[in-house]
Amino acid sequence: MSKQFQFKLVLLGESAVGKSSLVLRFVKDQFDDYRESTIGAAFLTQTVSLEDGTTVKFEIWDTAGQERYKSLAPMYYRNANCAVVVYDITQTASLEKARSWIRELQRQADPSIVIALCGNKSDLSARRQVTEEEAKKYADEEGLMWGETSAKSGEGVAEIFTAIAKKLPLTAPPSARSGAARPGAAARTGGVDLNKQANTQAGNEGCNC
Amino acid sequence: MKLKPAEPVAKYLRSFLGNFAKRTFTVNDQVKLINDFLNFISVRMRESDVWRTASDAEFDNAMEGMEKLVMNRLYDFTFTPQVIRMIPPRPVTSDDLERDEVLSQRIALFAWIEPKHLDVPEGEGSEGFIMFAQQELLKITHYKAPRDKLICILNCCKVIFGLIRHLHKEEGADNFVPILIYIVLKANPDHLLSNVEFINRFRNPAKLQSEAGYYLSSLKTGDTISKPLSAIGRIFNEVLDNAEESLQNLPGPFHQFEQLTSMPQTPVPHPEDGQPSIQTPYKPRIRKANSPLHSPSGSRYGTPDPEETPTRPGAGAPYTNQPLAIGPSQPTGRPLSQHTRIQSLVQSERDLQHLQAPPLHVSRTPTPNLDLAGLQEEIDRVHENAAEAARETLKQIFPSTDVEIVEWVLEANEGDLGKSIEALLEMSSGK
Repeated sequence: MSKQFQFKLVLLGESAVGKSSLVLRFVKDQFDDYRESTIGAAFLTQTVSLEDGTTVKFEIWDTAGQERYKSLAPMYYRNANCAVVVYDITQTASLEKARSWIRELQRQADPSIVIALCGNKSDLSARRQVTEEEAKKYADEEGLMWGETSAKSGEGVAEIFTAIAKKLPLTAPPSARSGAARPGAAARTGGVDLNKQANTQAGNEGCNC
Repeated sequence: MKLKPAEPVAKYLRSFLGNFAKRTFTVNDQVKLINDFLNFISVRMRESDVWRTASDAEFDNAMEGMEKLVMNRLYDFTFTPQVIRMIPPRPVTSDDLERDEVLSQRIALFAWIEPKHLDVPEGEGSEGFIMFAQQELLKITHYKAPRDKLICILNCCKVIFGLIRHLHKEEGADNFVPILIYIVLKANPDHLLSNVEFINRFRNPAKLQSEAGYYLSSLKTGDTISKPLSAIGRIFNEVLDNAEESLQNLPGPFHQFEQLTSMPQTPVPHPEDGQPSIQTPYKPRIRKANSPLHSPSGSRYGTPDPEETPTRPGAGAPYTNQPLAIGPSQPTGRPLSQHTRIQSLVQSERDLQHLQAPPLHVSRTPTPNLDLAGLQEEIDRVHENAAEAARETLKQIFPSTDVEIVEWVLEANEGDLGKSIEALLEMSSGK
């Protein structure tokens, strides 16, 4: 039976770098089973199937990129398994901003967090200010994943998310955090396999009253 | 639950509720006890003949009902603003009320804030959405069950996304978060932190993940408003620097001014339970013992004193026009000693008090009105006003849509503002 894993992914980056478009592209285009999220596009989910039949479901938490909202970010990257930090290849300043996000994640986030640096707007390479070499070198130094994407054309988008899915530790189901779930009261949104696990885990617990 | 095979479950429930009420527990113990009980009872429910053959979805629904039932019954023991109203008083083991008070006061200070200060996108018709989203958020105080409170938050977020789509802005956190914060500031719901904490503590943890978790976390960003040096504090300082001029032009206490200028069409909440209500565009799944009447018209902005808020009727209050009278289990005539106790409780946080306006004529629930004919007239009149306000709101949101169409849609949805907006949104996006 194929395994399903679920991970929290936080999306960081300056406001004009197109991080929302990037993730919308990933969620809407690439796969058939896209469903409109029930509330809005600040929270999205998408499932990636790997070659070995494993499926990885991403819960994508978008953040506000404006400088003045920067200090709200910890509430969003708390307990995140992975982060995609987006910059705009036509804006050197946006890479600087991305570096500061990465420093913060390395300092404050879960130490096991998988971080991917993502240069968006690769369709505008004529106006490129950040070279591939420069970004790649930085990513290598910091031990980050790196890729360029175009939310507009879709180029590189699925690749970077699939690469993250492969890099995440697929040994211990991160869904263990739902261990406190009430049996039978399974989450409404998908995750059937996870719920079945939860059902069997929840044995007879005595009433404490 | 009334069925015979459910008898053992009902017995466990009665015993749990009875024992819970007998003793005083700390908040942490309450969370554990209730969660353990719900885990326990769900196993018993699954085993009983009633739910043995139920589908997962049906059973899930039954558990939702159980959570709601338990939390409705235990609301007075578990929702901090209720706990202090109990007779005899119960000890409060959390600092929710102090935090509520600080937050509320800080928000009141920034009542003059405008969308442009916070990167809130603006456009034609956005005011209607903002107003509607505030109303959705304010409903959080009308519901007892954690799930219902959460739904109020999610509905508010849905309206925000409606606005973002309406303005053809990029759908994402860059636009969403500023609008949400703006709405929290403008709505300044009573006991926002107590409500958020209540949801965190007593909502099924499995249901607080994913999407609901995201939006609840986003609302918590509002929490940081009360910490002057945090994110929002910094925003405010920045804004303050930029906005000194506009401040000087404002008359008197800010939130009084605010009340005069914003939301002029807010229909005054009135007893409308059981009828299609303008106040409740999203129908609550089960609606008990709550009345829109208790949306305090005067305490919307910067309620100075927690206990000035009209209380809601206790569990099991009738569903009819009763709200005009005092609900059966509503603590009548709270002793003065309690009043002073709360006063002293919040006193320490009142460093900003001198900036607070005097209480805004928080009108207590009107005296019980037994003149039924007069009452009916009053209700009719209110309905008419509310319908008019709804039409106005819709026209504001959809200025490009024919007035006739707006009215027709509103009529088709039986005056339900929420459904009407959704319908009109669908129509306009379908173009």
